[in-house]
Amino acid sequence: MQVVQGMRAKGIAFFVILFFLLLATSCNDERVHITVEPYQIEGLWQKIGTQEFWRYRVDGTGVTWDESEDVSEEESNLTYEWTINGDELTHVFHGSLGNQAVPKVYTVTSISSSQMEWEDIYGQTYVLLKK
Amino acid sequence: MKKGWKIALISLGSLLGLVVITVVVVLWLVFTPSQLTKIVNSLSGKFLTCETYFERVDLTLLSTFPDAGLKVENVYLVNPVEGAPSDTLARIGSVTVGLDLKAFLKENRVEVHQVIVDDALANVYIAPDGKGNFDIVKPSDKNDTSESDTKLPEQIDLKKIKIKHLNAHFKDEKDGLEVKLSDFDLALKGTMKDEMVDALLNVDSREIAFVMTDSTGKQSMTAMLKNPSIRLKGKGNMDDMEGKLNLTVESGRFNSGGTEMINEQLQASKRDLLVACIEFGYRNSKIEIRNGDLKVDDYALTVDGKMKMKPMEVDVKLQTDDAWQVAPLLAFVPDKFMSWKKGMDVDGKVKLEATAVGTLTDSTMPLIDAHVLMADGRFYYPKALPYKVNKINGDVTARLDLGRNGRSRASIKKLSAATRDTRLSVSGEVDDLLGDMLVDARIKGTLPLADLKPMIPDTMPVAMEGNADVELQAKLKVSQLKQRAFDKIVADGMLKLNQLDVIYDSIHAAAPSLDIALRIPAVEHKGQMADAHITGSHLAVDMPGKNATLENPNIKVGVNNMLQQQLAADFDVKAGETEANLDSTMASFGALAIKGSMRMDSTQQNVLKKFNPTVDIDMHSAVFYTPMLPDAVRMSQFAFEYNPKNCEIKTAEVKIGHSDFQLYGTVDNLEDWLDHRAMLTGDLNFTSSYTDVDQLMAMFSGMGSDADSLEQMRKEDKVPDEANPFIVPKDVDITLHTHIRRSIAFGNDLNDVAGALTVKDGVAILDQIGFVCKAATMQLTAYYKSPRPNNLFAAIDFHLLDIQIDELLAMIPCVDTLVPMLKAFNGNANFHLAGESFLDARYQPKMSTLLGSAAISGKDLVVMDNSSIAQVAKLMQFKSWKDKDDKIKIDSLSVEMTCLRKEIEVFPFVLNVGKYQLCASGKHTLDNVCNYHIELLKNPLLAKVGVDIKGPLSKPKISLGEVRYADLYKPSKQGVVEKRTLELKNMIRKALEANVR
Repeated sequence: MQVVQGMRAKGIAFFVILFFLLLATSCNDERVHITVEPYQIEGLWQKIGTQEFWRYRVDGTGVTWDESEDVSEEESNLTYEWTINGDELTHVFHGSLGNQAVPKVYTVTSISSSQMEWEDIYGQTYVLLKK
Repeated sequence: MKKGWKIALISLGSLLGLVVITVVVVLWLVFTPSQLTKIVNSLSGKFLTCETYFERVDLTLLSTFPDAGLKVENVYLVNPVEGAPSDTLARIGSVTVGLDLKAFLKENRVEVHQVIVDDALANVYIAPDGKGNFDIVKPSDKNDTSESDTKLPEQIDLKKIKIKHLNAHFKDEKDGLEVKLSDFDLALKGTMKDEMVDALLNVDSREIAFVMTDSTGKQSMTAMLKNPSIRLKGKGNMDDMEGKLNLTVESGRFNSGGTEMINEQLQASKRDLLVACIEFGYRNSKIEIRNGDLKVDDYALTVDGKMKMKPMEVDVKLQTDDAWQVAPLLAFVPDKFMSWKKGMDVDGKVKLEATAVGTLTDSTMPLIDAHVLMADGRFYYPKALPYKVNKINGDVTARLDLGRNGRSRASIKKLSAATRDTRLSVSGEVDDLLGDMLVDARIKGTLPLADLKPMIPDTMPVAMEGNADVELQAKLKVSQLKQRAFDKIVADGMLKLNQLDVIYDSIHAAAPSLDIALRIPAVEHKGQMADAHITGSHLAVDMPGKNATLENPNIKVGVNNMLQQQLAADFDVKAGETEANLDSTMASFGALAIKGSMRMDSTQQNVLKKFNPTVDIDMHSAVFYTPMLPDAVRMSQFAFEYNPKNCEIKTAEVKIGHSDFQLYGTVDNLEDWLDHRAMLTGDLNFTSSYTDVDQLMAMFSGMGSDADSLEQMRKEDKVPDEANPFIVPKDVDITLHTHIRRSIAFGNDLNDVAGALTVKDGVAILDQIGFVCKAATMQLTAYYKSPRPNNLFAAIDFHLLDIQIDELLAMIPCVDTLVPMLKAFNGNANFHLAGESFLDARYQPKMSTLLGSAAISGKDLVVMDNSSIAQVAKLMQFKSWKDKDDKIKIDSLSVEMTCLRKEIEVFPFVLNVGKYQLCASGKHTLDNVCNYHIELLKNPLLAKVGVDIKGPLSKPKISLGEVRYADLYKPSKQGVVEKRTLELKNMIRKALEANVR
């Protein structure tokens, strides 16, 4: 009997939590979306605190590399096509064998001539400095 | 000449007749010298046409006893003739004529017994028109031109003629003959009657010289004899005479056709130049010689034969009385005939039998047939042979034609010689003996090979030791030997070599015994100088860092003239057990056959460029040991054809370490590749029952890369010593069409591997290789390059169809890293993976370069017991998600994920578990920190619940989260985000599945 009562209590607790969660969900998309133009993206960026670089070319291609692992821009395999749609920055990486498509989508939360911030759908942010 | 002498004799006879008449007159009329002189002088004009003078004529009895003598002193005959060297025909100090007093007194017959001439000078001249200055007898008053006028008086019966101190000059311009006698003494005893002579003649002279000129006035023959002495006994007339001649010539000269036949050495000899003792007959202008003994200097000959003058014809047989010493004899031979001996030392004892037959003219010489026996000879001619040849014994016949265009030859019955440790015997023929000798001979003997060294040009890098037994039939010219033009000679024979040790350039060969059948020019190997068939029991060959030993070698080889060119050869080698060392690689063969050719270029360093081989090689039971491999490479059979452009592997049945395979196909551009002028290309078929890929990769690592530059790269890249990354061969473009029944690669057992492995200029590509692993069908495309040892690059496109998930995780552990929740499932799945990354020297991925995507799909999966899942299920109040067998079953699973650097993102996927439908997505990092979200889309309560799983995977924090995917799979309700998410999922999967065959 005590077990049944315990389970009931937990069930009540679950639904209470669920309620608040649903409430929280309905309020989570209140972010102010910005509109980013491609020219703002174009250029060389460095992830803050790292040796990781991202180059965005005018033609919509780009390359990223990390010099902390003895890899140069010329050697890098991480080439991509990039697009900016509003604040959604999409990268599609293609592997060397040609049968690989790796999309990476970020939301640009802020951008200036010297700094840019992304955020993925899991809430992780990335700060890059213009080089 | 005959006529001239006849006229001279007739003139002399007429003079004697005049004297006789004078004596008669004296005897009969006047007995005082003055009266006699006067009478003679007055009478001379009646008989003689020339100017004469008789100073004193006197009678004598004592000096001519028992004959009565008439002595005339200081007789002068002067008859100027144009062209004659002197007007004085004769000047005689005294002439004494002895008459048979008895015949005169009893029979009133004048019979001349003696004529003694002392201190005479004669100049006899015959003009070109044949008229002589000695034609001084007046013709008869009668017009009778009968022979009686020119005949010697019948009354003359000479028993003694003596001429002392005669100096005579005879010049016949008509026939081109000039003779000079100096201080000539002649003593003749005998009878001369009716032109019949039976006399003993002694002649001595201080000097006799004669000159013969040809029609152009050129001297064709000259001779000068000093102190000749002749003892001649003859009987007969001028046309038919028998006699015996003893001749001695102290010294002299004889020049024929411009050649001085008596050279300075012979002239300087202190012995008599010529001593002859000859029985002769003179008949029809021919001299027949019988039992002649000739001695020139100290060399004695017996002579028999016939001779004739104008032109001189001879048919003479000569024979040495004893063995002649050659060296001093050759010193007497005119230089013209000794040009061949320049720089040559030759000696020996020679016995000679020879005949000389023929005519001596400007262009011809009598043919000489000679049989020579030589003993204890020696020969030294450094230009042809650097060693002194001794113990020369021979039996040679020769035909010498010393004429202008003559060709002499010899037949060698046997000729043996020795030099140092060499023993050779020769038999055969020698043509053009006095010119460029053409030898056709059989040579037998033994020789130390070291003796051949000085005969080999200094430029030819060869050294030889050992002995050779030679039996060789050879046809060659001496000039070919001198010029080392061995490609021009003809030879066929056998060389048996013992304790052979030869070094040619950097090649060293040694054998205890070898038989070489030699043939020049080559017949079997057309275009080469010589064929050689080499057989033996054992042969060892080595070069720096390389050596080979062959048992029972059977080698057929055609070689060029190594003495004039660099070695080039065609060969056919068969051997039994063979061992070889190539640098630090050792090889042994149960049987070896090599057929092909090579052309040496000693300026090259690389062994292939140095020898330029074109070979067809067939090996059986071959074993190779190389430091590159811990185990031997065994080849039951290996057959290939190689040429500088192409190598065709006909078959290679190989065992390397754990692997066995058959290989066939072609490899091209090997030589150009070695020169870095072209890429090594190849197309090979590789079939194997078992292949250890890891071991083979280790073996071929770095091939084609320069070891020094590789080491430099390792240093610059700071590659740890223990790391040994596979460096893809550069400058090669080789495709290996594989079919491997069973293999191990990166620790995985792979079966039925089929596909192409291409290695191209530092890049290795596995092109859609299919195989079976742990009962799953797989397909792999892989790309690997090694620009730097510490910056390798690998890309794979990997498809596993219908594989057990636990097997997949066991085979590819990194999948667990990519999809950690996958280990919670059990069942079969399809797995597609594409990924790439740079790697360090230990093959560790450089995470900053990692790019990957994967798609997993499966049906009827079972969820394994897992505490985290149980916790989630508990949190979601799953009541009935387990089947009756207490297992959690999932109808279907379709997961797409990507990986960029350390971050793995799992795109939303749906799970149907019993009455529940879940959707999950999220990401985690490779250091196992997760951020996942799971939603309950369907449940009996119709409640929508989301759960977040965050934190370390080992101990995640699980909490309720917001609902995100309620409308993901409801097309009517899909918003932009949902559509975009599904597009990305579809992009990933489509790209991955595009290559599945």
